[in-house]
Amino acid sequence: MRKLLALLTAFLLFAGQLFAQKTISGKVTDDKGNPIANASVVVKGTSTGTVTKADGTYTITVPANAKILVFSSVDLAPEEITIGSQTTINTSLKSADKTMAEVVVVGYGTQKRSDVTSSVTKIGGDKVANVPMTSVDQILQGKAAGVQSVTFSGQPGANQQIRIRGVGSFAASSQPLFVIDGIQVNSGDVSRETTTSNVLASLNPDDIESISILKDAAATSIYGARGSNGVILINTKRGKAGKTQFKFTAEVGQNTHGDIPSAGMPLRADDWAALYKESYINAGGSPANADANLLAYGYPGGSDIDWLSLITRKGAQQQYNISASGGDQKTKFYISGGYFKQEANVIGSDLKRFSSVINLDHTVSNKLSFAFSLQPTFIRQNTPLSNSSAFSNPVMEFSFLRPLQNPYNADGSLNISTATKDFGSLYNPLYIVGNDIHSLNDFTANTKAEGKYNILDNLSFTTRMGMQYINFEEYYYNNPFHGDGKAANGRGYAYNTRYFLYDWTNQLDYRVNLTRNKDLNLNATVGYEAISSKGYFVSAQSQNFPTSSLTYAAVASSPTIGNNSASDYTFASEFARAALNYKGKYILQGSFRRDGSSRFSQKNEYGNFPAGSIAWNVNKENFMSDVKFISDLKLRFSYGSAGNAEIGNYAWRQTLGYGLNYNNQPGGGFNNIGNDELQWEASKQTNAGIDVSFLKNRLNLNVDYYKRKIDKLIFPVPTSQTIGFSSISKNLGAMQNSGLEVTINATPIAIKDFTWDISFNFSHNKNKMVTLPAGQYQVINGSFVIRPGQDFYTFYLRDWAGVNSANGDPLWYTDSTHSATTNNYNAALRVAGNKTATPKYFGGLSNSLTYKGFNLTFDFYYNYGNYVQDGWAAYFYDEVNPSYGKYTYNLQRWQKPGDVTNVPKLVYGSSNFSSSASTRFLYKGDFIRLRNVSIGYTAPTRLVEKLHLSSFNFYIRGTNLWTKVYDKNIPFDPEQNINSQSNLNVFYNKSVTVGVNIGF
Amino acid sequence: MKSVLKYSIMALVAGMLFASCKKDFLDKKPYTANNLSTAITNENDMKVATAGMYSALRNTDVYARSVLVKGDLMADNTFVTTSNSGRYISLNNFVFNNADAYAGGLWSGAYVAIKYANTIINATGITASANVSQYQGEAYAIRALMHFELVRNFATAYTVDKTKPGIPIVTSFDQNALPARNTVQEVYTQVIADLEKAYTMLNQYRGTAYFSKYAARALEARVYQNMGDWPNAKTMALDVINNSGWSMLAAASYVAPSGSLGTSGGSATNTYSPGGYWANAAVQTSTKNETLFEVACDLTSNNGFDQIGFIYLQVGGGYGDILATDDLYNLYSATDARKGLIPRAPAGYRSGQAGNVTLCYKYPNPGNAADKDDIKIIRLSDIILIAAEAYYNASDYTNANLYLNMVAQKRDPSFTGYTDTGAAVLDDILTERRKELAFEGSRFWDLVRLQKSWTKIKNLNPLTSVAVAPGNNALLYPIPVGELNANPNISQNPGY
Repeated sequence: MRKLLALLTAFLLFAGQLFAQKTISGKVTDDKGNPIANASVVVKGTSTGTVTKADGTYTITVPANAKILVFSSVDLAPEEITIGSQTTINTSLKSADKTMAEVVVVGYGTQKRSDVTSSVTKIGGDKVANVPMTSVDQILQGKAAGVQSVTFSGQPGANQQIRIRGVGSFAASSQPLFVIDGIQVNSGDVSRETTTSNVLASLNPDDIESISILKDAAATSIYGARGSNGVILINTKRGKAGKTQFKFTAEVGQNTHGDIPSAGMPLRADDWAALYKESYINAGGSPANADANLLAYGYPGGSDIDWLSLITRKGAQQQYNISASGGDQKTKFYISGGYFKQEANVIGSDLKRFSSVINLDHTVSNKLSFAFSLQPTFIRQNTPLSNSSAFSNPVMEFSFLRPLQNPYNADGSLNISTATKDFGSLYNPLYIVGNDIHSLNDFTANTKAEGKYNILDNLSFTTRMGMQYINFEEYYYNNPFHGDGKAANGRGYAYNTRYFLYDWTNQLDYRVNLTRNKDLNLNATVGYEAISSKGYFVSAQSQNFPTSSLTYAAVASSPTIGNNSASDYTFASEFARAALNYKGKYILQGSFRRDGSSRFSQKNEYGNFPAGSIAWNVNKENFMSDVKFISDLKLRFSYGSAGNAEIGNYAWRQTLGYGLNYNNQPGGGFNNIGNDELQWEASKQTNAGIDVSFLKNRLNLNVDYYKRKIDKLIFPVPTSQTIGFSSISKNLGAMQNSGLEVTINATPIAIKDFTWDISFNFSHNKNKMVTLPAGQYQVINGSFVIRPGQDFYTFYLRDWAGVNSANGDPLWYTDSTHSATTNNYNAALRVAGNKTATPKYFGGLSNSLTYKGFNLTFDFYYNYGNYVQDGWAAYFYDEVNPSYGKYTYNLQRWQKPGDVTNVPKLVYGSSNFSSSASTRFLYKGDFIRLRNVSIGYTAPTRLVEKLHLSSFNFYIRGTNLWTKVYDKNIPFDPEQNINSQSNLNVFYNKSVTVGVNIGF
Repeated sequence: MKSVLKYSIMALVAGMLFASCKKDFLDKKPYTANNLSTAITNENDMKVATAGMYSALRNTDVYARSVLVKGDLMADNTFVTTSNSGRYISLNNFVFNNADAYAGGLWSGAYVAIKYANTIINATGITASANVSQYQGEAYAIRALMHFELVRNFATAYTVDKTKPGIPIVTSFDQNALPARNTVQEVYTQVIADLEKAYTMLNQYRGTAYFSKYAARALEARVYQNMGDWPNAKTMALDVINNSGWSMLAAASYVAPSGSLGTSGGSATNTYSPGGYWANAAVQTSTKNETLFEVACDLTSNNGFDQIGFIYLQVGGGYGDILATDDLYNLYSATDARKGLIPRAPAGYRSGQAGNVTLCYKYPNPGNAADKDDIKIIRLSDIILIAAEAYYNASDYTNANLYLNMVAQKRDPSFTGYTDTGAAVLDDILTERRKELAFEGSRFWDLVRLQKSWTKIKNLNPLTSVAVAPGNNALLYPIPVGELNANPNISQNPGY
């Protein structure tokens, strides 16, 4: 009976609906009258909907009780139209107000741009797609004010050094936190043998929907103990309801080495030999002996090798991406597959990536919805030992090898002779690259499962479980015949590194109108989050290989390392945020996070991080209605705190560590001094900003001023080494970054068929140490000194005074007033002047010119005001190490009394330290680089439709094609490590690529 | 509204559950270390800590390489060839600054070993046993050894002026300590006291890789030798010679060379092996030949490319930076077994070095796929020569020659023996010490404690050298700049 009743009811309902339906049709156009395809047409509050055809027309059957139709399309402002009695509804959608109406992803949610009270830079996915670079952090350079992103190596997949609003720590990390699809992931370089790698390289930039860079405390403090260095939120693309859209992109091209200034090119044979002989005689040797030595090196009559052309190449560049996205109102999907291959300009350096994304969203009912992500990626990266003085680093060998050393034998085979003229101490890089293996296989998968339940219309509960699985398999093989493996008759290393991270977040989102007239409303979020990460490491090493044709350790006779270990950390946190919004004019926001972490002792396990901010949309005031030329004006102010917990996982513990084995017996020793008082570094940041748009948003200006003071800075306070430790980590000292960020977006010309857009950003950051641990006047940090009032990266080097023109001796100053000089390096004064490794200004300038289907873009990056130190000058200058290659600049050496030059008298094997670290080897780091220039053509809709496509775009792109360097004596490209010290890394890549984007 | 309440309560309860398990969730312990306070509670823990202590001696700038290299390089035995990897240039040039890596490495490395020793010596609550006594005795010996090594590297020789600043004596862990330098005499007094303590506590022979009773005695003889305290030096040396059960090997077992050094197609080739005692990379566990104490290096625990052998070897991946002087080579007679440890290679063998190339072959196993060279720290022949020198200082030339010839004739069976008297005996002893202990880091200390002057060869092609005389500032390492920056109570040596 009951069944029958139910059936009857269902029938009646169905019939009722059937009889009460009506059909509406119409056409959707843009504000110029062009039809819009794939616009969504939905009955408000239901899942009933359709999409428009290519000509913009649609037909929809709606229930009789339907009241409102919602029309929407990407980049256009949605339109709601009351149905009434009409059966034809035509509408035109207006371009979305690009600045104020857009939605910005912030921590644990999204906000309307006009409601944002914090300093957040949003970068659209289109800005990072189709660039011949491996990772998104690399592409960010110059794209956002306040973000310094440094590419120190041209190795594909190299780690990127990013500083948001300056360096934020001494002992802990200064890298920002990365949050991908809401998951706080492990990032950076987690390899153990590879010279450089980057977890973020596993994310295909083509799959990115948007990036939000959180800079001030109002934005970052909800990430609490991990927010101090800024947070970069990356969201991947998700499906949209409508016809399934396929997108295919293909790009091919090549990479060549970046510019090497003439001062840094190595001497060729005749010059090299002449300087060798001159220095030998200067050292008291006889010309005859000098000639005999040179003869042993194969001069004259021997080789004159151009090493640059041998260790560089034209590397292939390719990428192909295909994606499909679509779905209906209930289920949406985005799936993609990508292949990326980059061969760098230096031999042996390459990367291949196979990436995929499956993002699904399913709405069960008005109440319940789910979202899933699965993003597995496989990378294979080959990395020659590619920095510093590793003998098998081709870039090192480029400068270290003599021009007389011939890599080939007379019969064309590779030369590995250890004779005087050949490769006795340094290696033949061609043989090493051809016969050694330095590979990294990286499988990384980010996954997410999210459920959302709308408890009420305005109250929802979301639970999100995100996981990141990183598996690095590194394999190193050194051949038995030449190079590092020779002594051991071949060596093989296998390192397996696995990181598993989960991040479980539960949050309640609530919004309510506090007044009947809806003038005042509240948005609130509370939640808790648990993050756990475990690294697991297996290492094996074997030596003594039977044959060079088999390279796996299983065939070697002697295992020398076989161990495993692990390391983990956890965070458990509660967070809350509330924003009061009065008529969209005044927004007051507060946030709070309480973090607990395994990285600190129970005394200091928890930290609290509050922040408050306010925004005033001045243009919504009545008195502004007459000011027509200002289309938007917002003032923002924020203050709050965030922390930095990026220290060693067990740094606080006083431990006896094992692995100190002896005589095949296990050994242990007191290895970590620990400090149970250790706690977070705490930053307090003030931010004042103004966002203003003029002339109907033709000109937008954002200016932010900030002051970020970091207290409780963790310092490895030096101890007397007699205690058996050299330092103890304590929360002492304070540092401050203050600065100005300006972003200007303008459209100077927008006439029929022609548009010119300019985007410019400028960053100035002033870093200074505020206090040091008590009793310490300064901390010497390698080539730098840390002193109160000075920049963290202030060079502290002996003060070069030039060359004594009477006798060619190197001279250094002995006092700060430059009144006296010495030729004794040890007596020279180290000075902490105003030369820093930190740039004073940097930023980007982008231009985009569009005429009909043609588009020309060119983006510059500029960097000004830092100095760069040559970390390897000792080997390439003077004749302190006479058997190595030399910079061309040595030709300017002192030769006779009266010569005025900066290169002292060359003395063979001199011990006068003339080429040791001093201000002599500091160069101006200023440069302007043409990061990107591209010309594209987008086919018009009519043509595309004939081809049964939805879009077609073709482009030619040049990357890093032109660089202006301002110091004529600098021997390398000025873009080096974040601390501006050169380290013989893979040269930057100049790339030329052509590509197509096809939609269908 | 009811559901709001319901879900809010659920969320609250979930949050509370979450909070209650948070304590465990946030307690993450390391996988490769234990809390120090609970790490040494029984005899086995102490044994493990003892192994850890010895491993600190394997530091490159302690015994794995630098200390041994220094003793020959800064004297007249070796030099750094022109075409080199950049290592040991400061020692070769006799020029240091206060950031010198070798000085800094020894200072910090030796104090790490002292820290480990103190952890063992000061461990409490462990049931006494013969083994515990042995392990703590070894720790006393290591503490003495490290203080001795520090004081002679960083301070004025005892025989020159024992009232000068020595190095800080550290006998317990205090993370806030900022010690001043004890006097040289105070340091030696502490070293002797620790060695006496070790002698009474050591009760077993665990092999040459560990300190034994007579290894401690032998070290004490060396300490007294450096103090110029000859009566005590003699007592200690004779205790070892007469009572330890150690003996020297026959010449044919000591060195048994095979193969040759040559060049082929311009490249160095090598089939050469010194054979015998020096080619054997294994530690002794029950025999008592030659070595009283050595730092064990094995296939898994070694210094890789920083092994001492690689700084001398020209082939097999060695740096080959350091070559022997002609002067040293010419000391050995043709019948001396030790000549096999210093073979001469033909011209062109070393890239960038004209003329003959003289090599050190006391460490031939860095590339050995089974075991690596152990670092000999104390050998019986050294102790016998200390006895000879003690007799010389008592003007007992008969016994001086007796002990001197014990070594000289053992190594060169055809040698008829020294018969000099008076000051010439000391010259004979020093020559024999130079020949016997070449490449073991000994020569420099003989020259320093006896206040000799010498010519240090910097390079043979072109020939450059430094004249070294007593009072040369570089005879003392600089106190490392890191220590000076952190510790206001420490004073620097002259000239830095």
